[in-house]
Amino acid sequence: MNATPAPMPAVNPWLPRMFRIAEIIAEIPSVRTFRLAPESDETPDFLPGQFNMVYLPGYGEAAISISSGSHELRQMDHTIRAVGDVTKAIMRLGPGDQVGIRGPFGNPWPVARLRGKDVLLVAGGIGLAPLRPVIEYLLQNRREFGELKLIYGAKTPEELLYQRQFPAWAIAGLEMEVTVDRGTSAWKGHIGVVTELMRPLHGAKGKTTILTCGPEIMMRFVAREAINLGYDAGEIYVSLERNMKCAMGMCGVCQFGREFICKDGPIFPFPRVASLMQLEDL
Amino acid sequence: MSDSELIEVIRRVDCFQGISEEDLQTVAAMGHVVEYDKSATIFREGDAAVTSYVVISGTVSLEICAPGFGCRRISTVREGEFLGWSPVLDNLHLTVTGRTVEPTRLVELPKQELLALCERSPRFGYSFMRGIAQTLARRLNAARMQLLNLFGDEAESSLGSD
Ligand SMILES: Cc1cc2nc3c(=O)[nH]c(=O)nc-3n(C[C@H](O)[C@H](O)[C@H](O)COP(=O)(O)OP(=O)(O)OC[C@H]3O[C@@H](n4cnc5c(N)ncnc54)[C@H](O)[C@@H]3O)c2cc1C
Ligand code: FES
Repeated sequence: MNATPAPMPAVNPWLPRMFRIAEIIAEIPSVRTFRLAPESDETPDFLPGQFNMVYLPGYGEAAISISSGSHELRQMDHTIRAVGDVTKAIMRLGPGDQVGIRGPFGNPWPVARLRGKDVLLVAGGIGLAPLRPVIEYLLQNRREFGELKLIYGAKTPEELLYQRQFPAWAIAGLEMEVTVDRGTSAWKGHIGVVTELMRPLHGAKGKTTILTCGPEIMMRFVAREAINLGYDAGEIYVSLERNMKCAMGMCGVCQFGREFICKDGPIFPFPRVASLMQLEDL
Repeated sequence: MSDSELIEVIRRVDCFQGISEEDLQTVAAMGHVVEYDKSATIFREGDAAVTSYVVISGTVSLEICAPGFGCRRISTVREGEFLGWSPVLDNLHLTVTGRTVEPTRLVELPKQELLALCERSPRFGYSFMRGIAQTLARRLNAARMQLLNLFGDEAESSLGSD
């Protein structure tokens, strides 16, 4: 799918490697970022958009996107929302505790194809986490890209992820528009959904690639609005989530039509999954 | 603001796309530029629906207020957007309260003059009403998305069970 070949784990992909929690950052209610450092001398290698299986003995594994932009510090961030057994148990861990990691898995965002283009990123809620590595990549190589714009929506201002980084992103050349579903009187920004902020970028529509991640219905509306605005459907990429087990295309747990989310995705060109995203029981 | 600047502002608004230069000039001529500080009330729900607006700069928040409920902000209208479809669709009263979020400049467009131009120039009327319908369709889609409560309520509860 993408021009960039995804790195596969160099070690046995079935066996978790142990990582130590170097730091925990409280992001928003129910969401924390776990900065993980390998116990071995490995240097984590991954591409923006890939995910790891995070393993907690006694509880199991959960697929979690890598949310840091660079691995210079030999660390990887995982931004986790507590929803079920594994993720709630991870929230009880502290700095110095260990977790197992299998990965990285999955197809990355098509970063190699973005060179010379305008990029519109549309994120909803915790969907900003899998986009953060690509934002960091685009900003580190800012001159190689045209207009860069992030439209980000969350339910309330308190649930906007990574707010502390917004000023630095803006200075580095990312145009940002943020919106919330419910604004308090203190909120001075937009109220409404991300699609309302979508406008044609200044450059040619054919030169723009759209990367979107968030609730699946949101991504569907984003793709529809983008097509209405004249963008090329083939230039829209979505990141899908399904329950995972092996993460290597073996067990079939994550099958979505003919695709396996773990190995054919999680990032897909929209036309490849558009019809599946409308089926109720997939 | 000069006449030509006003014409450029109006030209960029979605529901005035594709109208003739002559009609654009007529719309600009009926416009009256007003300025508000932040937190100023521009209109209140229930007011007579007699004026539509174009936002030149700033942001207007649309709110629904009720006793014991306070004012809930339901959406925002920004630079380059048309505000106030109720008047041109012949609603007698406004359905929301409009308040500025920051210092805001608007062009006031009297309903009677806009509708008179629609009568005189059906070509303008068609483009303009089509634009209003498109704006409303966008807002309807957005409202549907908001109704779906996409982000759920788990953020309020998940860590509570630690
Ligand atoms: C490729 C990929 C990347 C992912 N990246 C991240 C990430 O960066 N951060 C992150 O927090 N999660 C991420 N997820 C989601 C995460 O893998 C699931 O939430 C996982 O099921 C959590 O495991 P658990 O054992 O805690 O919950 P489970 O026991 O599997 O689920 C418990 C309950 O929570 C519900 N539930 C499961 N997932 C969600 C969800 N996402 N939102 C709301 N309710 C849910 C289930 O329906 C179930 O009722 C990703 C998933 C995939 C496939
Ligand atoms: S998780 Fe096993 S096939 Fe995808």
